Parts: sequence; structure tokens; C-alpha cells
Amino acid sequence: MTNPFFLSLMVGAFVGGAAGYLGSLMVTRKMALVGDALGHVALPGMGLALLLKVDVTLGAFVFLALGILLIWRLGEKTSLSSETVVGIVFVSSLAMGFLIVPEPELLESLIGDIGKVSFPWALVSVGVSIGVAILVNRIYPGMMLMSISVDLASVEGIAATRYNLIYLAAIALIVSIGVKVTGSLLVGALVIIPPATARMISRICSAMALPVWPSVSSAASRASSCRA
Amino acid sequence: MRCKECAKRRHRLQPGTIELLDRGLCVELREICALPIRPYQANMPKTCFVICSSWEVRHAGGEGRARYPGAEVMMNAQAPPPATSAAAAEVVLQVSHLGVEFDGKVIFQDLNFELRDRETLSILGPNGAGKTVLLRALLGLVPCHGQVSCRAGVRIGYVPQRVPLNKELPITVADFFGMKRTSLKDVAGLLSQVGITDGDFPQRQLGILSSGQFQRVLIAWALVNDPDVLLFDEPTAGIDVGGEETIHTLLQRTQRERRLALILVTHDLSIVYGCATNVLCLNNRTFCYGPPKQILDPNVLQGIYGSGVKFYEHTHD
Repeated sequence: MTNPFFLSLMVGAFVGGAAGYLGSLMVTRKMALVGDALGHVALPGMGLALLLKVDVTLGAFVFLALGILLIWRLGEKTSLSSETVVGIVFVSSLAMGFLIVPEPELLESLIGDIGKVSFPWALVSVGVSIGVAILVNRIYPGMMLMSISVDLASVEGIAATRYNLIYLAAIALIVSIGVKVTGSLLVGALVIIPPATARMISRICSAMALPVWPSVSSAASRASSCRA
Repeated sequence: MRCKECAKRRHRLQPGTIELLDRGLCVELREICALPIRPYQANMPKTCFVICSSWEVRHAGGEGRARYPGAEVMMNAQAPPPATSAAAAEVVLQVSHLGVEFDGKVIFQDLNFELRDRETLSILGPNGAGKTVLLRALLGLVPCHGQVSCRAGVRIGYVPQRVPLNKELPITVADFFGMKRTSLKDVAGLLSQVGITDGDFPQRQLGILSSGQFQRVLIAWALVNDPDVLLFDEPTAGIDVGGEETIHTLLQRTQRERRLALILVTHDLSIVYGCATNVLCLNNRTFCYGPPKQILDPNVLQGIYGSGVKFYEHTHD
């Protein structure tokens, strides 16, 4: 059970699966790069966590939550597009991150190390992944309707603000555990590549919501390459 | 045989010829047990139709005489409605002193109107007059003051203005209806009501539909759960003329079959004259409200749209 290879494989498969599922929603909403940008938003949090000797996921999550609240708030209060708002928060965090992260750990923060997974952390990440997958499943039809027309969705009783917040929270959760797997720089790969692959294979939504398998297999290859 | 009260009543015809004798009279022919309805108007070039099998004819508007095989009938728009709909039309929606402001700018204020069962209210006004905002206010999508009261249990359907569709959206028509938990069987029924009978249509991707097809899908989607009121924001914007005609024919037919009340935002004056029970002209305040034939004259139109608006009678040929 505590075999490091097995743990890495399990974490990779669950995190990859949930991230791919969430990613299919992000790709559809043309927000694929937001996941990537948010990985960088986590960087200062990871730096602080390293300095304070706590788990980087925790630091990443706190900063992601703050970053996302800021993005959400700016999006509601200004007329700037979400892309612009994410850009502002993303470059500011990246700059802060480079100042905070201690140099010896910088590389690990940037590209992660799936081989360094402890048993309790593996359990937490599996739990979070399942939680995120359930959340995404709940909001999926509503989010799709919102991407057709926000007004139609509102008439159907879908509160856009609440759905967007749940959606962003799901992204924050998956990115904060994902940064440990792939690092801050590559976390976007978890949410972009599986749905993009699925998009090439399938034309329709119900099939595209299954980018879980490419993720799981890529996680397996990543786990084995880390071990080697 | 002359019959004064036969308006809207159905006439079953034997094979022969039907002739519309007065200009402006409009009837519908329907093949018994089959859906297609063809409206005919006396001011169309052709006023005689050869009836090949058993047909039904229904009054569809205007006033005048029609000659059927073995009978001549007077069709009168003011005649009492048929017994099936004898109950007086109830008020579905009552709006009083409605106003909307955005950042201190008044979009419109003090609007008063009502909508009864099976009525059509047209909303007319220049761009930026707040027509779409009014629909959104009725739906509770924008903050407003004043009062919008609906009859208890009223279901409202909404067809928004030209939805910019993401062509990449990986959703099929069936998925789209699935969002309202509609079964595949019901989807086929709803689609056939809007004139789409293609068996594989539900499996088509939403993004590849033409704008006319998508508009029809949106109407069918709004008809899920049998609404009592349908709010329609410029149903024909961006649709070619042929499509425009059929969308309106479709709307009128749906309204008759479903007993819907309609609120219709449109720029098309011939539709306002042809279909609307009442018209509400909007230009930051109520310019006019009432039956179009009574209140719409060139002066009023000039007041709404500025100078140079003329109305040309719309003829079908």
C-alpha cells in the first residue's frame, strides 16, 4: 500500500482523472489557459509554505483561493474580460512567487515531483479528486447551458454567480493538489491535454466528458518515469 | 347558405373549389388528419384553390366572403370565438409602473400594460429603447422597480435574441433538450411542432445548425413544459426572408395550437399589424399602447423612430 510507485500512480490517476473532467468544461468555455495561469498564482503560496515548512498544497490552496476570489470579484465589479483579469492576477503572483520561493526548491516548485508523495497526502489528494469530480458532475449541465446563453440558464433557475464560484473553487482545489504532481509550470497540462485529446476523438459532449482515460494512462507513464 | 357566426369554426369541405371573394380575407386549409396548414389570403394573386381531397378550412384573419363547394360563407373577424374557448381571456401578466435604471440612466419608466391569454403583445422601438431590457425585467434578470404580477402558476418560456453560438460547443440537439430533462420522444414531438421532422436531427451538433434551424430549436426548447407565455426577442433577426416568413407562420400556428400568450419584440411593422393584439411602443417611456390598427399612424411611428418611417403594406406573392 505504501509502495512509493503505487502511491504515485494512484495520485496521478485520480488527480489526472478529476483534472481532465474539469478540463473538459474549461476547454468548452475557452478557458483552457486559465488552469495554466492559476498554476502560477499558486507559486507565492508554495514559496511561503516551503519557508514555513508546511505542505506546499496548503500554501498553494490558500493563495489560489485568494487569487480566485480576487479574479471573481474583479470580474463582477469591472467590465474587464476574465482573460484580462486572470492575466493581471497571474503575472503579479508569478513576480511575487519568484521573490518568495527559496532557490534550492524553485525547480521542484516549478515542475513538481510526483515521486515525493506521502501516504496521508495521497489519501487527501484522492479524496479531493473524488470531491472535485462530484462537484463538476453537479454543475456540468448548468455550465454547458451557461455557455450557450447565460440568460437562458438564468430563466431555468441557474444562478450564474454561484455556479461560477463553484466552478472556480473546483479549479482551485484541483490546481492546488496538481501543483505537487506536475509543479506550478506544468499544471495546465492536467486540464488541457486530456480534454483536447478527447475533443479530437469525439464530437459530442457526453463522450468528451470522459477524458479521464487519457489522463489516467498519462499519469501511469508519468509515475513510472518518475520512478526511473 | 350564409352564416354570420362561422368565423374560426372549421368547415369540412368536399373536393371542389374554394374561392376567397373579398380582399384581406385569410383562411387556412388543412388536410384532415395531416399537419400541414397553408394560409391563403384573398389579396394573393390566386384566390381559387382546387381541393383535391377532404380539407378543413379555418378562418385566419380579415373579413369577407368565401365560397366553398355548395356554400358561401361570411367570415368575420369580430365574430364570437368558438365554444371551446368560450371563457373570457384571463389576464396572465399585469405590469404596472415598471422602470429600469442602469447606473442612474433611465432605460424606461412607468410602463403599464397587461397580457391576456392567447394575446400577442408586440414591443416596438428603436435600437437602445430598452426592448430587450424589458423582457429581461419581466423575467427577473435585471433589477427593476414597479410591479410585475403573473397569474399563479404561470410558466414562462423565453427565446433570447440571436444567441451567438460557439461553433465548437460539443453539444447535440438532444443534449440541449436533456438540460431540461426532456425525453428523446418528447424532443421529436417538439421538433416536429417547429417544422423539423428529420429523424437524425436530435443527434446533430448544435454548432453546425444554420441560424434558422437554431432559432427553431430555441423555440422548441422554450416550448418544453408547456409554457403559458412566450417571450420572444426579435425572432427573425439575422434570418433570411424565407426563414422569417416561416418563423412567423410557425409562431402563429404554435400560438393557436398551444393557446399561448406571446410577447414579441420586433421591428417588422407588417408583423405588428398582422399578428399583434396590442402594441407597446417604447422610447424611454410609453409612447403608445393599444391595438396596432388604432394607435399606429405615421405620426406615432415618426415619434418612435424619428422621421422618414413609412409603412408599406405587406403582400404575399
